[in-house]
Amino acid sequence: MKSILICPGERPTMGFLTEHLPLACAPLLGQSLVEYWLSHLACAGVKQVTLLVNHHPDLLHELVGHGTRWGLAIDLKVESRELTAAEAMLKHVKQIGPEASSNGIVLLDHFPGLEQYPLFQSYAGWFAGLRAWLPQARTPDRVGPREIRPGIWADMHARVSPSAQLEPPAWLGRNVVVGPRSRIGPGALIEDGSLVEADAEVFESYVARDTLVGQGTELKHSLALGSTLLNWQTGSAVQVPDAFVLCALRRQAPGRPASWVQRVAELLTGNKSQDELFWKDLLINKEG
Amino acid sequence: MNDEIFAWLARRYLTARSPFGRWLLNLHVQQQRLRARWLAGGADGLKRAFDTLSSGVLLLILSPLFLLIGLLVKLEDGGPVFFAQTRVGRFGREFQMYKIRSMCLDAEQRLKDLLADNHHREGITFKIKDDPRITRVGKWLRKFSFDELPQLYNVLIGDMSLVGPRPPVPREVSLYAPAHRRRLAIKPGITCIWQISGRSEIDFSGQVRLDVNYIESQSLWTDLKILARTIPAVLSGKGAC
Repeated sequence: MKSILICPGERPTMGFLTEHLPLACAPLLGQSLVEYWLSHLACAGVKQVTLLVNHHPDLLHELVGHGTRWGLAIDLKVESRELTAAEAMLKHVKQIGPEASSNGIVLLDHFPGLEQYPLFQSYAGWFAGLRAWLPQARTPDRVGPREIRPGIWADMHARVSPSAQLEPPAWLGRNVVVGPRSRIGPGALIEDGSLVEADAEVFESYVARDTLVGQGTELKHSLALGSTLLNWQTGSAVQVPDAFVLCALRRQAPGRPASWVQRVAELLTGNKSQDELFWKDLLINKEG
Repeated sequence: MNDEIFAWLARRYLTARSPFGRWLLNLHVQQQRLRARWLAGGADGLKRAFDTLSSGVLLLILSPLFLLIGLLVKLEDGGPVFFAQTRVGRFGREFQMYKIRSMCLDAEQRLKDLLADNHHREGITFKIKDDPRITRVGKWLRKFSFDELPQLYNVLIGDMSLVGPRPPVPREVSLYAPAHRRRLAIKPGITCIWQISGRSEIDFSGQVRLDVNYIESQSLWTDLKILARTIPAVLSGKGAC
């Protein structure tokens, strides 16, 4: 059996999500959308998959390779724009052959089986889709997430303080640390590598990868994407200026720093413009 | 209650009013950044460093043993000492696993004769008792698992790790169900965790579950404990994976 997956291109309404990674590669509950779909297709018995990409094909190739991870043969085709299902059918009908139906061609804008939750139309819809997918996020071929309490999932090496209060449904990603006396309320989705400090509260919210939720910070009906805070109910967004309230813990951009000197500076200051200030400061102090 | 909260908030955020206070708070953020970096990559980096260091040291220490074994194998039938097998590593990536030859030179032909003679158990894996293709030196090598020693080189170059599930052959992997593929989520290892948990009694899904348990609870400490239990098993000649 063969299948075609169309990776979504740019979506201007979801600008904050596509800042660093294309929509198909962005991590959702630990794995990206394309990985969930490949796993779903592998479980359904599909052997060959064609991926149509128009946005960052190199990142997608790094992610899926040749499909050996799922036992599939993946063919990555670069398109100049996002095709619709009908256009893909016309253009690639030779690959998928005469037995293809419209079921064999999927646009990756929803989770497998959850067509009623389109992900890329609004932030509220995106959050609702994630919440609906939560019980199925641990696909049969996935290692890591375990249900530590009914309705609360935790990935590998997640550390929860004994005085923290957890209420289902919730998701704690890999290496997440939940501080003392914090309240991870119903509907909290915390991605890999995030730190939730003491007395914080996360309610019906999504915390992106490698984000620090500072002491005493309350997140309600929000998406915390680094230092950008979005309210998915009202659609408002704000850049949090204070790093100790909400900030990104790692530099998100895929570009690597040039030399070890820059890397040390980045490690100590976390910010490119601060790198330069740091070194100027050091040199000035050395000299005088 | 509200007074307490107000007092706490004031104490906490009043530090942010002065530049020095903000500097202190930012220092805390930098400390959390370093901590996040360590949590994210520390365990894997440590495992890799331990693997590289110990495999390098072991290869150096055991080089006289390698020379001796090479001589013995060459003296027996004059054939090659090492041979490479294609095995499946992390996430389905195939690599060449090196072993010391313990079977006679026409092992492939004899395999076909044996397959007609069905001694194997049902399932995906394939092992025969009293295999007539094994040479005399090979039998002694397998008893003490010396034929697995060249895998230290695989550990050095990063294909394998010291501790982990044994690498399967591509033929087996093509028959895996999606749930079985979970055991390909980490680098395969030389020491097999099954032999300390009684492998021959459980079926394949049980083995996969053991492997997944290992992957989810893996840390340097558990690896060291497994190594400590494997070495006596190997030296006593019981374990052969």
